[in-house]
Amino acid sequence: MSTLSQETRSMLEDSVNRFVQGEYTFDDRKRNLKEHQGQSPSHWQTFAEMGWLAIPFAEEQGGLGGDNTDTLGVMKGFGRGLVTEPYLGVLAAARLLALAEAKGEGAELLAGIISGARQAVFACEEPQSRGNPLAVATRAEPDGSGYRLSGEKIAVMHSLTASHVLVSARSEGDYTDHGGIDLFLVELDSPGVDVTGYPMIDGHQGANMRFDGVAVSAAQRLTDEGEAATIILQVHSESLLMLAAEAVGIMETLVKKTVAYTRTRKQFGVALAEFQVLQHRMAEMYIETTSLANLLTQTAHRWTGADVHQQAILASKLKARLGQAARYVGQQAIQLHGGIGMTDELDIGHYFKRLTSIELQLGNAEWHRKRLWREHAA
Amino acid sequence: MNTELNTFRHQIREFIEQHADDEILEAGRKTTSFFPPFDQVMKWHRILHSQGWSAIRWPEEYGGTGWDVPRQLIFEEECRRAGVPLLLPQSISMVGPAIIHYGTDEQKRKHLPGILSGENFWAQGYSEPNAGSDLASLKCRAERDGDHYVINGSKTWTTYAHHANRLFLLVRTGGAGKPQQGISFFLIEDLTDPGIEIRPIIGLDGVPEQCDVFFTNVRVPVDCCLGEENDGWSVAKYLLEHERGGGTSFATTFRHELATIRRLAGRTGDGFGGFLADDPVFQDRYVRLHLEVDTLEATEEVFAAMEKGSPESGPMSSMIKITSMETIQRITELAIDVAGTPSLALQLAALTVASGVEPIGDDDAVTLMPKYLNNRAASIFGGSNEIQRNIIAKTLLR
Repeated sequence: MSTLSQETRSMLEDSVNRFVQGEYTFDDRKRNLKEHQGQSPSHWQTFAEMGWLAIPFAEEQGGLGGDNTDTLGVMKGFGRGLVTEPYLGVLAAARLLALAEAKGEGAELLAGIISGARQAVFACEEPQSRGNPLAVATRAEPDGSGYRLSGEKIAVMHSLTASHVLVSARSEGDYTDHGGIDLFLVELDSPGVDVTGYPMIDGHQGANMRFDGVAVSAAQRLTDEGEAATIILQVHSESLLMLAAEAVGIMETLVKKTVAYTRTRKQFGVALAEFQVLQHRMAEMYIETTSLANLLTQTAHRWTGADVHQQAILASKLKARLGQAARYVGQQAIQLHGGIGMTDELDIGHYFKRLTSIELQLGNAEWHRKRLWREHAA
Repeated sequence: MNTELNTFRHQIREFIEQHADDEILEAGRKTTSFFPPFDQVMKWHRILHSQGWSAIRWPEEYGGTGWDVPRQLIFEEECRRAGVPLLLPQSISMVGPAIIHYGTDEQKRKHLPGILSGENFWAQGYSEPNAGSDLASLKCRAERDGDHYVINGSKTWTTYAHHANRLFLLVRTGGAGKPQQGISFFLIEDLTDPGIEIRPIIGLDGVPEQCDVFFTNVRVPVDCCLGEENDGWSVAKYLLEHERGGGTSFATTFRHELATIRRLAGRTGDGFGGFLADDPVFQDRYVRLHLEVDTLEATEEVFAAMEKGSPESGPMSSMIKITSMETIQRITELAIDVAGTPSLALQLAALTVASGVEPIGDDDAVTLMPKYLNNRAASIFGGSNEIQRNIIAKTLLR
């Protein structure tokens, strides 16, 4: 549960607002994409100095002692600024290390991530998993005192400077079984690890990873054998909560920018905002955005103290609703801007593309609705 | 009759198989908008022309085929089946029919052969920075100076202007009266004039397709005017009907898109151990869209038999514009939902013809995100769908 003081929370919120407004303007962002592929080392240093990398970690680990809900203000700000640094992906890896109470190499890595010196990523999604964190086909075959990992991971939220990847793999059980999943800490330059990195449509970096009989020791397994599902589920839910906050930041920005544009753009001798059909469209954008923001606030209140299973349901509700709302708001923002909204030059299209990514990441709305139905039916 | 049509279909199929080379087929596969890769689509245009098939809907006397509607549809079906790029609409389906309808004998003689052969490619200069949906408020001006006009102003969203060697243009030549009055329709033959500057615009999908075009004291001969001076709005409206109503059958193209999605769904997991194609939610969305396409085809058939410029054809072309463009938007939405996160990779090199770069992930999936992004413009261009609905409502309430 969060132990952050009100003072610390306001400080975090102020610092992210200052960063986005001062150092992450649309032009800064463009330059960052060109020069650093969207992942500037100096920005990352700022993240560390501002304490953003330390928020959801215990003080004895070097953290601020908050929980996952304390990162939501940062994520909203990152939404407004369209920040492309791999905050979400690296934090997911760090949360796994923390929840697994990693020792040795893992503990050092966690301390390094919190201080901003090191980075790791989390490889969970597979070609057929559609974001279901328990649909694990990657195998961990016992081999001597260790294992050999074989399989393929896709859509990793990637960091170009990560040294390690946390990989989920199955040592027993059927596809989608809760039991039998392990989590391994693997160096990215280990023999048999093949990383295909790529830029994504939203300026973030993604990667597909192939594991071809990668030898790992028992010490690289982060949880008791076959017992990793619980922390993987928890971090999946936490990431969904954070994505939703980012989406709210984007959608609120799009509503504001669209309203401002239709007030100034004139066609047929009047401002676009005079047309009732467009007024209703903007009212609808506002309703969708505010509904999602309210659902996020309520979810955050219910989050702390909920168990892993309850958090998964809360996260699925949020993501399913997000998918619908984000698509409407993003598409209408472009429609109301007209041709200019279709250009690379204006920020609107970039907000739209990030929303599109968020819609598809960590399970799309249809997958989450199906998961919710299965929960109801069970 | 059926055997005749079958023989016809067979001829078309054989011709395409023999003449569409790998590069043309690659361009067809890598097409992510209504405008295929330029060099290859023009190459295919010239090949079709050698057979007399570049403008299948034109009247026979002007170089069309004289085919009836079923034959036109068979031709398009076979083109989609083979995966060749669809010919660019600006010359063949837009300015061509306008020249046939409004042009002097001299203008027809001068311009139609180059359009048919593919020697010339015409871009469309309609929209301006402050005249989009409200096209009639355009400001680009042409002043009469002896036997010439002098053009000053700018155009935007001019698709493929950076590839074009001809341009058709709406300019203001008159002053007073309603905004629709005093507009003229020009046929510009020389885009190398130093007073013309063409700047490509990068789109959401990361590639240049539209352009800004700037005119500074560009002199053109007075006989470049199509139709009467100051009556260009009639020409523009006639042409817009062709644009909105579609020169080609959208339904045939859209079915092809749906087939790709269905194939992909058949091999994409649902995350619970099954496949998406077996998911009732996918099935319902897929069948709904198929029905939308079938219905669109029915409307297209009615429209094809309708006289253009008649009181009914205007609203009907608006209806086709709305339904076709919103259907393709929904199809591309289903496509990214099926493709999922693999569609988020930005793969500009793999989408470039002859780049030799292999796509990351499923071959069928690589074009789906660019199509989704690009097609957001489908409810904006050619008169936004809001404007089209106004046109229909106006007719209903008249």
